[in-house]
Amino acid sequence: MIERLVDALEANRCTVRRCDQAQVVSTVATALAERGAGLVAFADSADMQRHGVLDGIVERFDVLLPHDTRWRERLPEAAVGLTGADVAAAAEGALALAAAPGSPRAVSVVPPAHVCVLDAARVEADFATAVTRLAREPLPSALTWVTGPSRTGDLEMQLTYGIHGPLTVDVVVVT
Amino acid sequence: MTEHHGIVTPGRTFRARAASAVRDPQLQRALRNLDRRYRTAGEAAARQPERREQAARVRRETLPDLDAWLDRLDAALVAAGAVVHRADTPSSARAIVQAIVAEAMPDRPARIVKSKSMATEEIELGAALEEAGHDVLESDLGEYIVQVAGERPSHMITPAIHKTLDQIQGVLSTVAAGDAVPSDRDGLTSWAREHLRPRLLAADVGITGVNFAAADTGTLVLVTNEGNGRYCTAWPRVQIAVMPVEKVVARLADVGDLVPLLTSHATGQRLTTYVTMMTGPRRGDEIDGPEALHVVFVDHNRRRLVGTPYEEMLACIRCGACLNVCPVYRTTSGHAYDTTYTGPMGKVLTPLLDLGATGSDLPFASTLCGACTEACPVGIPLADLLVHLRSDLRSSAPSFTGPLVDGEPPDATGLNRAAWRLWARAWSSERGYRATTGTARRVVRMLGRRWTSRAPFPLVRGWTRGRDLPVPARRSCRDEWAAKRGGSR
Repeated sequence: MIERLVDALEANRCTVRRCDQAQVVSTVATALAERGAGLVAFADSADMQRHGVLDGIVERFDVLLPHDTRWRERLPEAAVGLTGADVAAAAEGALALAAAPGSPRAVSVVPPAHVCVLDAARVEADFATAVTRLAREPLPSALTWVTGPSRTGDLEMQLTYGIHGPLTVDVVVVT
Repeated sequence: MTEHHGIVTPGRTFRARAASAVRDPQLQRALRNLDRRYRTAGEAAARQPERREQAARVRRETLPDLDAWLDRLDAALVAAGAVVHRADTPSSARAIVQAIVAEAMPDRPARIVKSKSMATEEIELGAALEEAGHDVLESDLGEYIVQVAGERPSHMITPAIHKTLDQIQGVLSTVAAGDAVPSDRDGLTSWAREHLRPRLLAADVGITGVNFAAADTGTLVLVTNEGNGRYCTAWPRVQIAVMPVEKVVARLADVGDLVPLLTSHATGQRLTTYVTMMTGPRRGDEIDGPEALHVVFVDHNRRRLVGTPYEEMLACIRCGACLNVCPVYRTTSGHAYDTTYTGPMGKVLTPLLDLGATGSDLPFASTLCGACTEACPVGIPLADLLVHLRSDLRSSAPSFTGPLVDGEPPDATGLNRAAWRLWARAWSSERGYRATTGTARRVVRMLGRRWTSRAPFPLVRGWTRGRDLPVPARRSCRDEWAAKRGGSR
């Protein structure tokens, strides 16, 4: 299922970086450095805490946290949005991000690059299976599915990328 | 700015506008880009036949008892913290939205960002808000192009499909304030990103449509590709979602099949770049998302279709597949229809929404080839509905209840009616069929090709104005068949 997910994500123009539990911080740091190493807007999640991602990057990068009093003002300056993922759909190559106080919606839309950390345990076979399961549980105020970089076909039906949302999406798949 | 003064396809009737469209070489060149979508629906259908059946069932589940499902959805939305408004007409929908905006921004005009929504086009919301002094940004790239051009979208998925890249660059140069607009696609895309981003970030109110609304959880589902829809739902403090009443589905779980079906038929994607599922406004300590989420149910004569043959039309999921395969749409483009909804689905829906007051000539602008019916992911018999509508639009008691506002359509004369009856009677028997076709074949062959390309007789002239009447073969297929069978014995 992970192979299927990786193939689908890559077909959707995501950059996939696979690693084991011990390499999460270093893999994330590499992705952040490649995406400009500017201000990193951080969105928290249980997986991010378990992997110690914030502690691992805070020394090396300028990090914008959701409880920053100037968060709304500073988010547009961020070079990268760094988030976890709550669910993924293998067949479609899709990541679902639930809104929460520590995980605002805009982190994965306003910065020009999105880096997403996904635990393999969260992968479902496909979108329909995932939605059926999610519909039985309490829902977040916003659940956003992302399959890749922002795109448009409005210029003579030829695809171009990065129109409003992120131009690049890096997925760190932790197995 | 959203007044549609930019006339791309002039003409008072569909026939006149179609003729101008065919003569417009730029438009014809732009329309060739639609070839990329010609096989999309067929390929999507071949990959997931069971999903089409499932979706057709799910979309019809809420329709027979629409009012009860709307009440259920209403309760679930309210339980999730949203505010529900109900509008019977486009004008009441506009008034509701104006009041919400005025309450949100009592001291100054609002900065409003919109994501692409056919429902807001239908109620002409953008123009009304601009007239009230608000700053309205259509933030989908295609919608922005047509907004700047002062046109309406010509395709529900690709609003600026009628424009070539050169024309798009020309349109955007008018708002570039001296800044050169790049002529290549990638450059133009980054230019648009930088140009629109400050307005997305400054927005007070976000206005979106709704692709599906789940009655069990009160969840609104929005399907997008560009990311502007995500700004509209994440950044402004107030969000208004405009929802035609038929968007209600029984269960959120149903969306698991409906969304991939919609996206695969619309653009060939297994899933769009973004699918947003909103259940109420922001909660507790959340720092973004709307503080207030308003949902406006728009009826506009839809509920009166329940129980009529046109109830089927309410199953439509707005994928655009029927436009992409329609020989008429592919030749004339959307502006020839001069309506919000274009192509086959627009020809059926438009006269129904306005009870015949607009678009009553559209159902007649069809070859009835049935390509639309075949492409439809939820099995709406579009060609049958067109035939039904033709007869209803000629009837004084149409099966959609309520009077026809503009009365009898132009050629519903007694003579016309008698001719159809006579034809129906003649072709109801084999003898009648053979006698009439035999005579017609001999007469037309005698007159020859020059006559068939421009017939001088009143009844045939209208038909040959746009196309040639083929000269029939010397012997009919039936004669050939009989001769072959005779020969092989």
